[in-house]
Amino acid sequence: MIRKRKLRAVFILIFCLLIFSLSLSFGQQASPSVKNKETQVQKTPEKVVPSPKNIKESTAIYVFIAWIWVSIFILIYIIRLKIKEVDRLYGLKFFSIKKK
Amino acid sequence: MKVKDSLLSIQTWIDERLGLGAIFNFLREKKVPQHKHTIWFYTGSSILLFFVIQVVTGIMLAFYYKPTLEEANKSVARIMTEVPLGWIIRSVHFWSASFMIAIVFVHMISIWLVKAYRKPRELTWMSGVFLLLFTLGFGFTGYLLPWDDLSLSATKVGTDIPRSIPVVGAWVTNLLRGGEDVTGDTLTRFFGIHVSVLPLFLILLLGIHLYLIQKLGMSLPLDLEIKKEEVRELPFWPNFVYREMVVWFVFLGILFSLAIFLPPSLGKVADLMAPAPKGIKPEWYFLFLFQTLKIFPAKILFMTGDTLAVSLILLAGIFFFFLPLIDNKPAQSKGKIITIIAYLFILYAAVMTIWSLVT
Repeated sequence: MIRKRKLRAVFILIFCLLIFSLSLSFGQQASPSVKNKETQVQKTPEKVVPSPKNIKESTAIYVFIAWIWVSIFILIYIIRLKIKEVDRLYGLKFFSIKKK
Repeated sequence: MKVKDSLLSIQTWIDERLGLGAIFNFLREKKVPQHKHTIWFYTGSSILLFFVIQVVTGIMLAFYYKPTLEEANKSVARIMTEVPLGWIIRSVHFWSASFMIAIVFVHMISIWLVKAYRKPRELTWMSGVFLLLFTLGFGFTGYLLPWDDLSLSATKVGTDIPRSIPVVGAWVTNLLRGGEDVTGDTLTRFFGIHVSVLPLFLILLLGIHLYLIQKLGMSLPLDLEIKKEEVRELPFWPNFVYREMVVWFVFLGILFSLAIFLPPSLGKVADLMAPAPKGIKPEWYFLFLFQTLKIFPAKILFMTGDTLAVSLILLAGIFFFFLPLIDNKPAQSKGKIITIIAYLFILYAAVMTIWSLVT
């Protein structure tokens, strides 16, 4: 049980480090020029590298991705409990009794 | 209590008209066998998940995309720079396509290895091969739509390959391109195929495929068929669906992370008169075929290397499609040669893909 907890902690740590390192490299990407809409329509850029337009959008994205992963971990935890419960009920033939 | 009653009455109202209760009862009755290969069962529903994501993000992109020579690249650039969060939607569409194709490959290979295509599931396999082709068709047609130098060159190479097919080759190439060369007509044609023809046929075939799976049930691994042991089963709803949901959430998390941190860029607008840039390569899922064509010499005996390579690829495709008829042994037979061929195919595809990536 303790080993499992340690493994989980290591996994979460590695995952957080991965996200952090990716976010650092992400911040270094050049943002496309969006100053003048007219010039953009007339002159197509050589190569468009997608990235957040400003610090506000950039922060929103980091918050969004963090929220997604937190939600996923919580949902998986809840679903695991649900799986245990429905498996137990199935083992007890609860649903077949109910049907009768 | 009142809310519960009104919800129940709405449910009854809908059920009386649509008969959805029968479907839910069927799902409750449906059982999923539990064994060491059950993990492969999750690939089917994951493909569906990514298909739904493709449809939703594709519709969102279609609101802004303009499939004309002048506007295609600009409209994609606009999606990426002006439309709020447009680059994320495009990135999710891009990564979701790759995920979908990867899982389709895994799904097909797993069925091949566990011999789940054998009687009575021949048609399920054949419809699956068509679904694989349509999925690859989505990837091929979608690649041209940004209309940048790379997508144009890759499409020129890709649409030129059928030309090597004996007798009908030139006709197929002209049909794909809408003329002799890749032009604005090809772009419009590919867009039409990408957003209407392929989805229509894919949904139709998907319906047939799912119907066959429900009708025939899930297959058992060979060793369990041979031993005729009683296999532990789980109800599809809710026990198996909950398990599938865990896989979906993990995939969704990875998809969004990749889409945000590794979004696809857009090259400069395609120039029809410009020479092909050096080192053009198709998407990763076509690399093994691309490398196969590259390794053949220009001429072998009385035919060109391209014709021989394309003919061999076509023969391999025919073998793949008719696999249930070639390996039509009873379920108890192990079919070792077919297993060896499957492993050789995996090895070949992996080696060719890596070779193409590093050269």
